[in-house]
Order: sequence, then structure tokens, then C-alpha cells
Amino acid sequence: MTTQNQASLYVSEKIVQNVKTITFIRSSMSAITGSAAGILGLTGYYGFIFYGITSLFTSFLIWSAKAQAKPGLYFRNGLDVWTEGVFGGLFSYVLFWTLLYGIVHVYD
Amino acid sequence: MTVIVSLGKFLGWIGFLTLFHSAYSTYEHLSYLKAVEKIPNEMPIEITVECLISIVIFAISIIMVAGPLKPILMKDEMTKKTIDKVDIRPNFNTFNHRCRSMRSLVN
Repeated sequence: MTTQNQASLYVSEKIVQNVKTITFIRSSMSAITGSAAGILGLTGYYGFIFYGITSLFTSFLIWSAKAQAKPGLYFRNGLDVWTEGVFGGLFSYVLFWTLLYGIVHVYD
Repeated sequence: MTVIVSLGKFLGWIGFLTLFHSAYSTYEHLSYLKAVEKIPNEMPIEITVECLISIVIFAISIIMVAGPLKPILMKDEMTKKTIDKVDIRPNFNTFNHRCRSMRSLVN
């Protein structure tokens, strides 16, 4: 299939809207899990392992509750629901992790 | 739809309160350990559990607040549109209508 045909196969506004929804969920969840990691006092690799587990949990929630287990209907590539915005979320995760760790564990 | 969103916002406030409470409990516990001069080695299990539960509450609330995903296939989009919406094109608008010739007939 040529690119021209593929472009007319999808509605581009809906693609943008879906990506926006997924980004909202991802960034909120990474901020909150980052705060939790800081409160729990995780350091080093444990924090990144915690991010991996919680982002897998978030992906599963999106896949099951938002995409009704049929991501092919909402994304051009069905695997996007697991990978979209994971690395972008890592930065806000680290930000909130260090902030809450500093507030709770370091300064008193 | 709006009921779900407002319920999700309410859950989000509960999640925020539990997260804040666990943060404050951790802070209190650490300052208590410092006051009695013990080495902080492990957090009490209640605080950890409260923190993890608040993550779950937040996850549910965010899922509820975020809008539904939209189907992206053009096929599904076209089934919702009527033929008048698809077929409308400005190219075929007619601005000359029969009134002009009718007027000459009347006069």
C-alpha cells in the first residue's frame, strides 16, 4: 500500500487526540509514581526498577480500560499503547522522585 | 460521562490526601528515629502500603478523568457521517437562479 493510500485510511485528528490522551495519562502517572518513589525512599537502580513496574502497570491499565484490549482500533501500530511516552515520562518521574526524596528524607 | 469525570476527580483528591499523609508519616517517623537516636533502617509496613494504595487510587482516577480514545479508522468515521455532509462541495453551488428570467416574464 502506498503512503497516499495509508494517509487516507486514518483520521489524523483522532490520532493526535489519542496521543494527547495517552500522554496525559502517562505524565500524570509518572509524576505520582515519582512522588511515591521519593516517599518510599528508593535510591539508585531500585527507583528505575520501580518506574519500570509502574509504567507497565499504567500500560496495562490503558490497554485494558481505555483501549478495551483492542489497541489496533485506536493506534496505527497496536504496540504504541505500550511504548508511547514511556521515555518522556521517565524525566518527570526522576524530577518528582528527587523532589519528594529531598523533602521527606534529606531536609528536616 | 461527566459523572465518571467528577467521580474520578473526587478519587484523585482522596489519592492526593493519602499520598500526602504517607509522606508526612514518613517524615514524622524519621524525625522520631532521629530523636531517640536510632538508625533508620526500615519503614513501617503501614506507610509503604498506604503509599502503594494511593498510587492505585490515582491510577483509577486518572483513567476515569482522561477522555475516551477515538477510533482512528476512516471507515468508522464515515459510518457516522451522513451523505449530505460527505457530498457537500462549494464547487457546485449555483448562484444564478430562475428568478431573473421570471422577473422579465412578469414585467
